[in-house]
Amino acid sequence: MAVGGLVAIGLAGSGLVLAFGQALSVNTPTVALGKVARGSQATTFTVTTAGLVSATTGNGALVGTATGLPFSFSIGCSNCDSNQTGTGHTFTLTVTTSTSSGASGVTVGVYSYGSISNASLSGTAPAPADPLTVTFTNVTKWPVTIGLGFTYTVDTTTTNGASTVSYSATVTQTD
Amino acid sequence: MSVRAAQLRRSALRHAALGLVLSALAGHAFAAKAPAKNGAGTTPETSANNSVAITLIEPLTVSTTSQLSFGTVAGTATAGTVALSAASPTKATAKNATVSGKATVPVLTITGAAGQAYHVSVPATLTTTAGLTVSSLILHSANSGTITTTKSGVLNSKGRDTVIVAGTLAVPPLTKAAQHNATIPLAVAYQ
Repeated sequence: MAVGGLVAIGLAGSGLVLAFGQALSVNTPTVALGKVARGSQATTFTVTTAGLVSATTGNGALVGTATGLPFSFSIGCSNCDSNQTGTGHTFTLTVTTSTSSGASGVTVGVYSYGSISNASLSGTAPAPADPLTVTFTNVTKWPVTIGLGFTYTVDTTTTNGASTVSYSATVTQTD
Repeated sequence: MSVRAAQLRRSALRHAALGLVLSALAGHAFAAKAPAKNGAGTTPETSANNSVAITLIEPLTVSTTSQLSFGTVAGTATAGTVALSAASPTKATAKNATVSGKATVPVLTITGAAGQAYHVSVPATLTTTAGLTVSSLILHSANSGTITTTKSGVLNSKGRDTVIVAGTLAVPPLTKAAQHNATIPLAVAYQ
C-alpha cells in the first residue's frame, strides 16, 4: 500500500505523461462562413479570433452573417483524471488546410492564435503561416481550448455555389 | 553478536530495504514515461478533420438609365417646389414654381443572386447643377414597392430588380429659369 501511494505521488509530481489508456483528442469546429459575393478582384477575408469577419483586400463582399465562429479548438485527454495535467510538459496544435473538390478558387489559411484556456501559450506568437503550430504548456485542466484566426481568399474564377475547404488539426505531446 | 551489534545490523538492513524501495519507485516513475513515446520512439498525437463551408453567389451589378432631371424650372414670388414621383417619373408637379421640358428619373437595374436582399445607400439631399437642393428622395422597387424608408429590396427569381429614384426640388422665390439636373451618388450592396 505504501509503495502504491508513493508511486501515485511520483506520477502526480511529474505531471501528465501519457500512458496506455490515456489519449489526447482534438475537437474541430464546424465553420460556415455564409455567403460571399465574388468580386472582380481576388478578395481576402480575415476572420479574427473573436469571430469577426472583414474583407481586407479585393472588392468581393460578405453577404449576411458568418456562423460557427470563432474558430475554436478543444483539446482533451481521455482517461486522464483531474490531477493528471500537463504541468511542465509541452503540447502542440498544428492546423493545416487543403482545398477540397468543388472549392476551386477558394483558399483558407490559418494566420494567428488567440485566447487559450486552461494552459499557457508557449513562446511568442507565430507569424502568419499555414500550417500554423501553436505550442502550449502548463495545462491546469482538460480540455484546453484555443481560438485561432484565419483568412479565406476567393478568386475571380470561383464558381457560384457551395464550397468546402478541408482542414486538419493535430495535437501532439512533444516531450 | 552483541545486542548493540544486532541493532546496528537490523538498522542497516532497514536502510538498505528503503533504498531498494526508493530505487524501485524511481525506476517505476521513469518507466511510466516510456509509454509517452508509445514504445516506438514517436510522440503521442491525434488528428481530426473538418471543413469550412462557403457559399459563393453572383456579384451585384448596378446600371442606371439616366440622371435625375426636373426640366427647366423657374421660381415665383414665393418659395415653391417641383416634385417627381414614381407614379409620375417624366412629368414634374410644380407648386409656386413653373416647370417645362421633359423630366427624367434614374432607373437602377440591379442584378445578382435570385432571392437575395440588397440595400441602397443614397444621401439625404442632393444639389442640382444649378445649385438648388433636392430632398425627400423616393425609392421605388419593381419587386418590393416603395422602399424609401427601409432602402432594402429583394431580387426576384431571375436575380433582378429595378428601382426608381425620385425627389423634390426646393425652388427659392424669384429663381431664374434654368435646367436642373442632379447626379445621385449611390451604392447597392447585399444585405
